[in-house]
Amino acid sequence: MSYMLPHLFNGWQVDQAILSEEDKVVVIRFGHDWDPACMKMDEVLYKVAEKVKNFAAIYLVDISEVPDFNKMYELYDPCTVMFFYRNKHIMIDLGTGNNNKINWPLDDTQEFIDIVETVYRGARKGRGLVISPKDYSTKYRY
Amino acid sequence: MPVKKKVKFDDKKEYKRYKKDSDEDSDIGDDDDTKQKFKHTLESDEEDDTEKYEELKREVLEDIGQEAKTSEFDDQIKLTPFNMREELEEGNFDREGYFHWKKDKSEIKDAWLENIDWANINTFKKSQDLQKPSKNEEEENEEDDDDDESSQSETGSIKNGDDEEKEKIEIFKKMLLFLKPGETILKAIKRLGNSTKSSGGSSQSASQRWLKKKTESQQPLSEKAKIDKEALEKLTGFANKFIDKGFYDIYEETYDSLEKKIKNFEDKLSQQSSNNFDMFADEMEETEIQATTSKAESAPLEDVVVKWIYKESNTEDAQISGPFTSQQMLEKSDKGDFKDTGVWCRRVDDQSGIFYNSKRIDFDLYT
Repeated sequence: MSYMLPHLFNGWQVDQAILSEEDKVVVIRFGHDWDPACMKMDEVLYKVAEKVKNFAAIYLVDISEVPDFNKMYELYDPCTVMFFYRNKHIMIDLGTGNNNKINWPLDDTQEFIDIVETVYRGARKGRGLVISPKDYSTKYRY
Repeated sequence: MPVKKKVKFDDKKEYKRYKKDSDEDSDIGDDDDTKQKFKHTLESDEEDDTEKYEELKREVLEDIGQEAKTSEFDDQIKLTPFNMREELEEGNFDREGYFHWKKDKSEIKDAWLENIDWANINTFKKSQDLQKPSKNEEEENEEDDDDDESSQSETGSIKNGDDEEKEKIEIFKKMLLFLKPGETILKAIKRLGNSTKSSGGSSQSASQRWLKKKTESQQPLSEKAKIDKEALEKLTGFANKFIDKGFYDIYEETYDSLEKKIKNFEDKLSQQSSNNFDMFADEMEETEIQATTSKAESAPLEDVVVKWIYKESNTEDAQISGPFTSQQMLEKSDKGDFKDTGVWCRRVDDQSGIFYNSKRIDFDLYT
């Protein structure tokens, strides 16, 4: 269901997307459209896109097509979601130990909206690290 | 190198000595040592008086082979004669050969001092006293206490808040005049600041600066630069008003976000005026709900005052307390009212919302 969300097709586009957004959080999903985990995530993203459109822009990136960031952002999971604000990566304490990204498919739209909003509010106040409202450490185990 | 010259960073003692100046009977250590050290403290270095130096005599300068004139042009390139004339207009050499810039006394400006409206300073102080925070807090508490009892008093306090809001919007409108679409206030200030400085700044050569000085004295500032300077002063003044009130994000506001805020406010006003005609409480509530929901969807987040409810345990039938403002929640959690385990809280405005543990919510983000 991700055909409504814009894809970015090369590194330059990704950079521009992150750079050019003046007062919105840029949410980027790195993965593959055909990946079951990504499909799950994309569905959530698709559902929330309209609701968060005032403070967040969501983009999808295929990590095979655009491998530029794989090393830098350590994109080794099937599905990774990262947040940026004004060309700055916003870290988020999810309780998982990895504060850089959401590296599993989130399945609750409300939870995701709340996370994006927290990121937005935090970033607006100049925070580089925000705390997700929910602790995912018990739910998500390696 | 003499041992005594060793620099010591014993700040307190040194400072004392420095203040006492050459007070001979200081009770610390032997006098000889202290005097020596005094000469070499960091403080004494920093406060080097730049004003006092012995000027190099002009005759000496002239003796060192300056030329009065040279050929004006070599092809297209302008030549300046090998002399110190321009430099000497802007400063002096001391005996050691260091150059000292002349300080132009008349150019010392203090924007803050100039801005003071001495005629109205008393009225200003009075109006400040009126806005003491204690009063605001009282109002807020009142609003919360009789939230459901009397909608009348609530509208009263809303009106008070509106006045402030109105003032805010007025300033926004004025600020908007100076901004270009897509520009943040910070960028606008930079843009205006650049044009007032005309060109270059420190990258200019001495002769260019000298030339500029000559021309400037005839025609102080170009018209455009003048206008820009005025705009800059106004814009920074407005921004300062917000900073004073605690809106530290003001410099980050863009043209578009300001425009949006103004529009939202005007929408709200028109909504309210139509509400005032509704005498029936039920209908009013309905429109209010509509207003808040439509706002939540269309307005930037920070315009919405977030209120919270919470319960002690995360079960369906647990007793719910609240609503509280984010500020109150912040105070509660700072005071430790929520204990170690935290409480389960949810925002009032989203009915489908999830109760989150207060330990993971940073209420400061919502204030």
